[in-house]
Amino acid sequence: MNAMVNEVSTDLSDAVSKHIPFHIACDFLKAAQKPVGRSWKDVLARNMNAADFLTDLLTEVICFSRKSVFAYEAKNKGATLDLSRLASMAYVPTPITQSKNHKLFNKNENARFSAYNFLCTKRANETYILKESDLTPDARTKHWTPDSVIKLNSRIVVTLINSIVYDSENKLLFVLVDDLRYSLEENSFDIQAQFCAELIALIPDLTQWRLLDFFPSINGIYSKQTEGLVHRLGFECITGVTRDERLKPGQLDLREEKYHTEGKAAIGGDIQPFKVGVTWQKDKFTTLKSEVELEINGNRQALHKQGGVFKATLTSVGTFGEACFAMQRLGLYV
Amino acid sequence: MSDLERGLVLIRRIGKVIDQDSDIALVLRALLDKYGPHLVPQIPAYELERLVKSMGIDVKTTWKKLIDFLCFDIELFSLEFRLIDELDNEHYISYEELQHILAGRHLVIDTRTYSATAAKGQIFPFLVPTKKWKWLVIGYKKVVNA
Repeated sequence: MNAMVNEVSTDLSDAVSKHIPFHIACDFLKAAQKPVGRSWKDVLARNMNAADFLTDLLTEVICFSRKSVFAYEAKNKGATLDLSRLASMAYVPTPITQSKNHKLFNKNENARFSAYNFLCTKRANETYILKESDLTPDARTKHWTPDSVIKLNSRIVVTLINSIVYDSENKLLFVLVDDLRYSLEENSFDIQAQFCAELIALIPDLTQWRLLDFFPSINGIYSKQTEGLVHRLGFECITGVTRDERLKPGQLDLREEKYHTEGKAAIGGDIQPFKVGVTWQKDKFTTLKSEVELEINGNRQALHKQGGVFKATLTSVGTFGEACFAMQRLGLYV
Repeated sequence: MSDLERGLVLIRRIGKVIDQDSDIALVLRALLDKYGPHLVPQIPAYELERLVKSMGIDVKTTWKKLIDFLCFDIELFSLEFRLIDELDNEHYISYEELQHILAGRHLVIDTRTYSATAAKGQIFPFLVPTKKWKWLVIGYKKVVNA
């Protein structure tokens, strides 16, 4: 492990400022009617006595932001999933020793969703650029020149937090995989498959469930005008052109952007989207404390198969409430 | 002969080969309405499939007849197969290569090797318009506007 980069910060305020972007932290502090300020230093000084709030916020942010999202549905429609075995399981203490298997450590619940968070350790690759101060004085005089660039590739052990979120209303099981923060050796599908294989031991009914295809929701989200702001769209036109249009997230809506609408009109309005990114703003949806971004990145193969997009990506930083919101919206279109 | 005359001859010939009210004639007319205004370099098969489905025609029973008619009887389109990779690039696949894949052999594109099953999942048919299609569009425009 590269101790220089991956040291675990013991100081709460340090950890908070490392994991949460400043403007998003302010969103949550405002929502909880806590004082905010212009800089981290300012904000942390004013919230000295809110350690419990910050700890909870940090835990939720780590568990529910920047994840790959998979969903499962029952093969016979309407079947419910029995999670009682998970509910009675004991939690492991958070700073656990390394474990290749998933260990339950935390649980979140609201009226509709119940989430179980699991820890597991994986190997990741890390590139570290050596600084002058990292060397001993002896080595510095022998090997170092001011323009030296030395990259160290190392394999480090990281802790992933994978969760399952059960939607009791839509009868969907969402699996959140934490693969975006590190460059792992396995991809998200591998981790998801391993996680679910372990879950089957706890929830035997899961063998009767199958992965849900997000393809219909790509066109569904794009064609519903009121569904957040579209900040990214990949599509194929009838003229045989493929385009990938992006906007600054959270400000403009691609559906109403001039280049997009007029280009669409020029070819008769017929486009086939296969990739969509959507932002839900906090001022439009009152249940949100901060904005939520979700992307479904299919490719052109999905158009030909009319399906085959099994992964969505929650790219924003937020708490349990925000993640639930994204899944609830996603559930409307699948 | 000008392109217009060629187009009108083609329309007369199609009229003799197929019935005016048959499913295939309906699909052809819909194709001309949709793709007539723009010259299209290719039509993915899924677009044709959607078109047929949207007209309420059963795809399974009509598909083979339709492709036979469009691509081999009057040769409005040539049927091409292309492999779409993860980066959305298209690679042309010849009939010979296709035969090899169907026989279970692997396929090499650039420096990447695809197993037969992987290749089958990523190869899709496209209809590429020939010059006959262009003539037909010109003739059709004339007939509709007259």
